Parts: sequence; structure tokens; C-alpha cells
Amino acid sequence: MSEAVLPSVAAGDSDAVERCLDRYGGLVWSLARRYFARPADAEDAVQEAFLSVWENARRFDPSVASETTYVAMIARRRIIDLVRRGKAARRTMTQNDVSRLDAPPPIEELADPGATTFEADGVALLGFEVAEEAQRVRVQLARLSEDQQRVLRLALCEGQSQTQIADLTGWPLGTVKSHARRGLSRLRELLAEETRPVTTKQEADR
Amino acid sequence: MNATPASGGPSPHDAQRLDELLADRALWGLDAAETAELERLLAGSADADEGYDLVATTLAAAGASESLPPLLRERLLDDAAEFDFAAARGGSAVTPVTPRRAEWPVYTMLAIAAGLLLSFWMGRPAPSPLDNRQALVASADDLVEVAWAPQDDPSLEELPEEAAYGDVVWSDAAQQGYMRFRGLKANDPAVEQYQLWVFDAERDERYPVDGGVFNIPAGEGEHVVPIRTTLPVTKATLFAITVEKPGGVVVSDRSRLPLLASR
Repeated sequence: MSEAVLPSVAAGDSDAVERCLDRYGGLVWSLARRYFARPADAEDAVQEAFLSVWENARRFDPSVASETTYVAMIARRRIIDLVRRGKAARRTMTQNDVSRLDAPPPIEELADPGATTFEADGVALLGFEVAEEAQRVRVQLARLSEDQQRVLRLALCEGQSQTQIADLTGWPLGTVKSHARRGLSRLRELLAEETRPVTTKQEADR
Repeated sequence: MNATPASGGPSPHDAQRLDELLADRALWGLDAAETAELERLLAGSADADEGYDLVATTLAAAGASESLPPLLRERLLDDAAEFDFAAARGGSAVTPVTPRRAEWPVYTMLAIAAGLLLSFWMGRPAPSPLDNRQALVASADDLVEVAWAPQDDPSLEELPEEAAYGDVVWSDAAQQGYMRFRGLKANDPAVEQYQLWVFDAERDERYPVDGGVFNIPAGEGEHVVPIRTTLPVTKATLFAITVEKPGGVVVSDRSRLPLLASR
């Protein structure tokens, strides 16, 4: 793993800002693109997201989360906030093929390192890091009920709202919320039970 | 559960509600009322708890695979140059930086203004969808151009050859495309409408992107319809036209599918 850049970013080091963009720009851009149809809207969201990353750079604690996860978390929060404020007019659909909807969601790609390779100072370490964490999540995600997996994938990987998921699945809104909350809670528990937990803080808490 | 009540802190009911709000925040974000409720409940909690956010983010980030556009990188560097890192480091309020939007050169703006004035003065009509299609075909380096393949549906007229039903042009980079139709019957918008779906290689194939609802007017000849996707399409692989109720649908049963175009 490379040295963290956020402490230097917090100090106002312009070189660190560039390294931060090189390392995490693609990740934040990818997250924004899930929520915004127009590239111009996604670009605006990325700018807002990075402002939030810089504002929160001093709060980064490597004992709680990896730098990649922390940057993605801060950026994603800001992007979702923009979505909720109506910055993205979105509409999605699915085919009303109930038999296919009942099939397990294709989560295999989550652990594909080739799909998550980013160049960071000439080294594809972010791809490795993301892929490694994704592999752990994939394994534990597969232990959830199919309904929970489906809702979590739609919400987190596809960026679908609660209402959109209810439309897609035909489930009542309350059922969608219930599957999502219980699934996320269970996923967190399963990850915490692993030998190598998501965060060292969780390990200390166990 | 996952939120940690302080001693003498929230009731079991509040602790459960706090847990729900933390999960919802990680999944979909919160509205203003929910945010206020979360802040109220967190005041009685010893641990703000970002555990749900970390798990949700790990899953959400797993499929991230795009590169930052170079021009956007330049804008981010401009934003950083104006950002008050000292204030942020000190934890004091940071004067908000207004993110710089893409700026057009002055001469470009003047040229556009002059063009608009000239076309207004000359009474020139706005570009037609066909004009826009031709412009896209001429300018897009990544243009996808595929012919419609007719399916078995009463909305299609009999044409002498399959390729005669028209085609689709699409640019992933421009997020822009146009459809040409021949032999697709005029619809009564009060009864039914046509709807486009775009299948994206980067998305689950069960969830194609809505490409917009449209009508085919009565009359002979070719009709050009712009594609209006409401989600980003990274790599379009298949275009499908369905016949739906007025206004279109969120969930299509694909019972009527007159045209398909596959790259």
C-alpha cells in the first residue's frame, strides 16, 4: 500500500492534491456516474465531492478505514446528498420478468481486479485494494438471503432509490427498506466476524 | 445494535431508530427531517458510528472502473487552488468554494452569439433531429451505428428488406444518439407509445436504461427521433423498442417488442 495522501492534502500540499486526484479521481468519477445521467451533472458532483474530501481530509484515521474507503465514503455521501436535492433527474426500469428477478444477482464481477484497476503513481494499487475488499464483501454478501442481496446490489451498485427498487421488484416500500436494513446490518456483522475485519476499530471492539 | 448508547442514553426505541437512520444514511442518504432526527438521536449516543457507511461504500466502490476526465481534473485543481485548507485544518468554517464549471472561451461565446443573431435575423429554423444526427455522425469518434432488426409485432409494416426499417446511431462519449425509423406505424399517443431501452455492458442486463418515450406521426417516409437516456450509458450494446401505455413504463413486460438493434 502506498503512503496516505490525505494528511498532506489537509496540510494544503498541492502535490498531494494532485496525487489525491490521480489516485481517487477515477473512483469518485465512477461513483458520480451511477447517479447522474448527464456527464456535466456528474462533473459538477465530482467537484462538490472533492471539496467535501478536502474539508474532511484532516479527519482521516487509518485505524478506522482504508484511505480509499474513506475517500469513497465522503464523496459518496456528498453525491447522494446532491441526488436527494434533486440534482439528478433519474429514471430506471427493469424488465418485468419475474423469473429472472428471482435469480441471484450477478455479484461475481465485484471481485474482478481487472474491473477496478486504477493507476496511482504508476502502480495499480487502488485496483488491488478495491478488489481485495470487494472480494471480502462478495463472499459475505453471498451469505445473505437472495432478496437482501438483490436490494443491496440495486441500492449500492446501481444507485437505485427505495422507490425505484420497489418499482423494479414489485415489493412494498417497507419490504424494500426492511431487506436493505437487515441485509446491511447482517453484512456488517459478517465482515466484523472475519479474521481480518473491515476496520481495525471493529476488531478492537470485538 | 450498532449505535452505541451513552450511559443513561437513548431508550431501546431510540436506539433502534438510530440504527435504522444510520443504515438508511449509508444506503440512500437522509432528507432534512431525517437528518434532524439523526442529529437529535446522536446527541444521546456516544458513538456516531460510520460502520454502515464503510460497508456500503466498500460494496458501492467495488464496481468503480472509470478514469477521471482530464478536463475535469484541471477544474478540480483550480478548485483546490481556491480552497482554504488552513481553515479546514483548523476545523473552522470554510468559505465555500464555488466549483468552477467548464468555461467556454470568449471567442467561442461570441461566435455562438453571432451565429444565433444571424440565424434569428435570417429566420433560420432550429436544427432538425436529422441535422443533429448528421452532426453526431460527423463528429463522434466512438459512433455506434446499427440497423434495426424487425420482430413480430403488428406495429410494423411489411418492407421488402429487413435493413430498411432504419437504424440507431449512438455515442457513449457524447451520451447522445438518434434513431431513424421506416415502416414503424404511426401510434395514437392516447392509446400507446413507443419506448426505447438501452442495454449497457456495464450494467446488469436485467436493467436496461430508459431511452425515452416517443411517437411516430402519421405520414410517409423516415422519422428521426433523438435518444433521451436518463442514466449514463457506458457501453451501449443493444437497443430495444417496446410498445407501452401512454407515458411509458418503469417496468416493461416486453409483450410487444417491434424492433431490436444489436452492435
